Formats: sequence, structure tokens, C-alpha cells
Amino acid sequence: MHDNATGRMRLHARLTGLGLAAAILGELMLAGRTTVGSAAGQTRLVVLDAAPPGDALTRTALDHIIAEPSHRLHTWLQFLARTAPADVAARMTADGLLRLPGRRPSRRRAPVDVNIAAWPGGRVNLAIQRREPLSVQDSVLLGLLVATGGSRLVLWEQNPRYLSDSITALPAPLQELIAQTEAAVGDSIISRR
Amino acid sequence: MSVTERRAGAVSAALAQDRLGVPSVVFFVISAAAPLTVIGGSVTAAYAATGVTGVPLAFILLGAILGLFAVGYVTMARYVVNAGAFYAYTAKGLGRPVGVATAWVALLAYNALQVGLYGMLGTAAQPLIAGWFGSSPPWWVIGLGAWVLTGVLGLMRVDVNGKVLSVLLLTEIALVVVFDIADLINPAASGYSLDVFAPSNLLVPGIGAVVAICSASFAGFESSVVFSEETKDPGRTVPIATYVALAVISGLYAVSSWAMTVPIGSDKIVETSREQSSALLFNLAGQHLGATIATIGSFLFVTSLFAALIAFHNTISRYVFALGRERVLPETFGRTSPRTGAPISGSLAQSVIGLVTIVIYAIFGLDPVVQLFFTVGSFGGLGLLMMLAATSISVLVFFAKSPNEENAWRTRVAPGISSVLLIVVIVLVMANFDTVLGVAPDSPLRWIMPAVYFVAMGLGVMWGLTLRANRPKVYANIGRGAQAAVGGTK
Repeated sequence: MHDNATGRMRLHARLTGLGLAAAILGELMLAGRTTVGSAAGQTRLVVLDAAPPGDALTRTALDHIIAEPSHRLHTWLQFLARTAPADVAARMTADGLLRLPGRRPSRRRAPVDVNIAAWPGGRVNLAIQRREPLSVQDSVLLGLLVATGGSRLVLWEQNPRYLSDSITALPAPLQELIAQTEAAVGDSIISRR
Repeated sequence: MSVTERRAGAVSAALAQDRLGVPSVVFFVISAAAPLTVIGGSVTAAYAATGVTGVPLAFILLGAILGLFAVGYVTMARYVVNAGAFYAYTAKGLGRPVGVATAWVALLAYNALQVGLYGMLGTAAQPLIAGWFGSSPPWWVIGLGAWVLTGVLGLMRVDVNGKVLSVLLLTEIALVVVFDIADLINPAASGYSLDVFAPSNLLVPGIGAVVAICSASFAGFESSVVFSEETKDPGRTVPIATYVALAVISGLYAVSSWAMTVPIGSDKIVETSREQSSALLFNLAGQHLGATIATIGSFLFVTSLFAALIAFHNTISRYVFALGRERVLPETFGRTSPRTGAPISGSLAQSVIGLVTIVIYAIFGLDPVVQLFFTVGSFGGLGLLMMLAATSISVLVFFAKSPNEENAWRTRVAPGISSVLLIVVIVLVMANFDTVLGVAPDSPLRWIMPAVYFVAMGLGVMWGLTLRANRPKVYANIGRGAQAAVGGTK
């Protein structure tokens, strides 16, 4: 989430990292590769389908989860958050969505097509405005925006009722992912470093 | 080694890279206690305001009591989410309504400790500014300047960077040690005396006031457990760091407050402290080491006060944030600034309290050192002692009612002794609260001020019970901090 004109990050780097880490796990969950389960009193990720996903980013994440199944969901968020912003940017560049900074004065990557970049946010905003239900994928996006605090930057209308309704309409594992993200964001704010 | 074996620790290894060891945690804890602030400010204030010379002994005794307290505290920390906050312990040990009561006491006490520093900072900076520019504005103008900076840095979520902090802290400690040595090799005509360590010089009327300001001096040591999730080996790193930090700070405080009496004579220390106030430490250094060193010392004293202001400000805004996340405080306090990740409402609320205090003290022309730093700081010290006692009792109750494999020393003996001692200390402080406030023994204020805490506790318990009746989901999450977002699982 960057400023249109300056390209400066509008959401704090640690929160962006956690949000994108959760988004990677969300992709794996939406693709039916993993779900959330409980073991030894902890919330963990459970692998449902070990078949490698098509793209390198989620494939690497799934490989890690298969190799070390005993970590808490919280630990996965922290682990993936370290590299998620760079990894996601690399994937978007590879997919032709972002272009490298080149000689741009800000030296940041920029969207190739501004309309494509603005579309998911616009889609969610329009749905909120029209009080239409969101797709599962967009509900997860909205949930993670709320969890990281980014919702107050990109949503045109703050409608707590709509937000909580669309999150509670999600399947339980995705709700848990959003709740864990919110908790991880809160912990990173309370933590002194 | 097979591929899977080699990969087995990849996640832990990656996360362990930026984990903390014992020295880092010790640094954080000692810097939270702000040693130069205590030795330059609290010690002279204690001698001056109480007239009691047993200050060094008080530091040793309190260090020992806190050491005993810490045994149970660090043990229970492993079972508590949101471990940095005392109310998380009392909510778990003594019930959630008591948790809310503790949280209210914490907000009062930490705010008192924070705003008290404005008075000292304003006063301590005056001679420096006068030295540079010929004249100095009143203390409250400087206090307001520090207030603006603290508020802005709080909103930007600038914690003084770990490395800067380490350099400042090491310089502070080195300076204190040099000052101590200079004091010790220049004894007064009466020679060396260990009077100040004699129990008969502490067990006098006014002891409670000494204990209150000395307790306030330790504020911040409790932050060690915040790092348990970020240390290499939480089971070892946090306890060791806590004990080391307590030993270092109580030792440093005791030796320095004694060393200060050596060139003056323990019989004249009270009188001299009253005349020179917080300048005493640096005046002594000026006599023995020259004006330059003394000026460096005064400058570092001001930066140390400023660092302490920011540290307490951030502690409070995080406390408020955690309570907002639990919905114990209104939801808006659980919000953050997206760009900086600062707990924005908590930070603003703390700034409002700081501003109101400075303005009131300026309008009524109250004394910034005695009536703000000492009195309000000691009031905060009393609140800290109440939280410590409640936490210590919570440790006892928690381990008594939940099965565990910890030994009796950690779960029963040490917490039992420290609970009793802390209650004794609280009784002493309350008995001497007239000295803390500097009022006549029959002044109603001496009862009204401590009563503020009990009112806060009563309101806290009532709010806790209201939540239980009306908002059971919020009630269930009391004490869980940011983890309130997730239900009962970890």
C-alpha cells in the first residue's frame, strides 16, 4: 500500500509484513492446501493437500509448513512477515504487475497499470457502498485490511457493521487467520522493539 | 544429514537471528529504570524531603525484596500472555475484576511517575540553559518543550534506539562510577562513615517516605518479562537478566547514595541536599573533577530524564492500547496509526495528562522538584508497590490452583515472603504519607491521596463485574492484551 504520488509506504513496514504474510497463508487456505487446526492447545496450520502450488511464493511457504508442522500459526505469521513484502513484490514484478524502479526519482517499484492496481480496493469499496456481499477472497482481503489497520487508509466508508458481518460470514479457519493477524499486529505494537 | 533434517530448524533459526540475549535485556531493563535520573534526582530529593539518612540501606532492602518478588514473577510470566502488564497476572491469579482494578492503579501510578519527571527536567535544564545563553526560562517552559517532544516522538513511535540507549546508558553509568570514586577519595573532615547503612538511621519517622521514592526508582524493572517471546531461551534469559539488572541497579543506587554523603558527612547530607537539590551530585563533581565534567554530568542528567519520560510515555500508551484491544477501555484506544504503528489514542491521552499537570503546577506556582517530582513521583511509587504486592499474591494463588511442575521456592516460599514484605512496606508508606506530601501530620490530604488508589480499585472491580454481566466476551479476554483478538487458544 503506497502513496500514489510519492510511492512512500502508507502502512508501517512491520504491519505490512504481517498483513502480506497472512495473505500468503490465506492464498494457501483458499486453494485448499492448508487449514487451521488445534494441537497441544495451540493453533497450528494443517496441511490438507501437499501438491505443490503453481507459483514459487506459495510453493516455498507450503514447503516450509510441510517440513515443520509443529509451529503455531503465530510463528508462521512472524516467519513469513520477514520476507513477505520483498517476495510479494518479486512475484508481482514477475507477473508483469510491477515494474522495476529504473531511473524513477523515488527508486521504488511502481504499478505497470494503475487501473489494475486500484481494482481490488475499488471492488471492495464499491461493494461496501452498495451493501453487497463480498466474495470469499475479497472478504479475506477486507479482514486483513482491518486487522492491520490499513482499512482506515483505503476504505471510503468506515462501516463497522458491514466489516464485522463480512468477516463473520467467512469459514472458521479464515476467521481465525484474521484474528491471529490482528493479535500479531497488536503484539508487535506492544513489543518494545 | 538428510534434507529434511537440515531444514527442520529453518523457521526457528530464521526467527532466532534477531532474538535477544541476557546483556540486551539487562540493558533494556536498566535503561528503563534510568539510573542517572535516580542518583541525580531521587536520591537528593529523598535526603532533602524526608530528612532521613538511611537512603542507601533502603535501596539495598528494596532491591532484596524485589529480588524475592522477581522469583515468582518471572516464573509466572511463562504462563501469562501480555506478560509485561501487572494486571495480566492479577486477572489470572485473583480474578478478572481485580485485573481491571490493577490496570486502573497502573494507569494512575505510571502517569504519576511520568509527569513527575517534567518538574525535575525543567529544573535541571535551567542552569545549563543559563550557562549557555545567560538566562533561562521558568521550569515549566522547558517542561512544555520536553512535553511537545515526548508527545511527537510518542506519536511517531520513536523508541530510543537500542544502540543509542546502550551508549547513553554506559556513559551514564561510567559517569556515576567516576563521580562515586571522586566522592570516596575526598572524604569530609569527619572521615568515612557507614552510618547511612545503620538500621537505626532508616527505622525512624519518615522511613515510609524514603521507601516510596526509592520504590519509584526501581520502576521499569518489571519490563524484563516483555521480552520473553523475543529471547533466545525465555526460561533462562529473562530470569537471569531480571536478577542481574536488579542487583546492578540496587547496588549502584546504594553505593552512589552513600558516596554522596562521604565528602559532605552523613550528619550534613540532609541540610546540603535541601540547599542544593538536584545540583548536589554535579556540584560535588565540579569540586573534585572540574567544571567541564560537572557540565557533562548535568547534560547527561537532562538526557537521562528525557529518555525516562519517553520510556514511561510509551509504557503508558501501550498499556492503554492493550486495554483498548481487550475492549476494557473504548475500542478507539486499541487503534494504531497505520503509518507509524504507534498506539495513537493512548499516546494522546498520556500527553493530555502531562499537559494538564504542567499547566496546573505553573499556574499555582507549585515547586517543580519537591511538589511535582518528589511528591507525585512518590505517589506513583506507592501505586507501584500496590501493583507489586497484588502481583506477588496472584503468583501464590495462581500456582496453588493450577497444576504445575515448578518447585516450591518459586511458587510458594519466595512469593509468600515477598507478599508479606511488600504489604509491610505499603503500610509504612501510608503511615508516613504526610512526609511524602510535605503536609502536617493531621492534614486530610495524607489520607485523600492514598485513597485515590482505593477508589480506582473499587471502580475497577465494579467495571469488571459490569463487563461480566453485560459483555461476557470482553470479560473473558481481560488481561490477554493483543491476544484478545483470538479466542481462548494460544
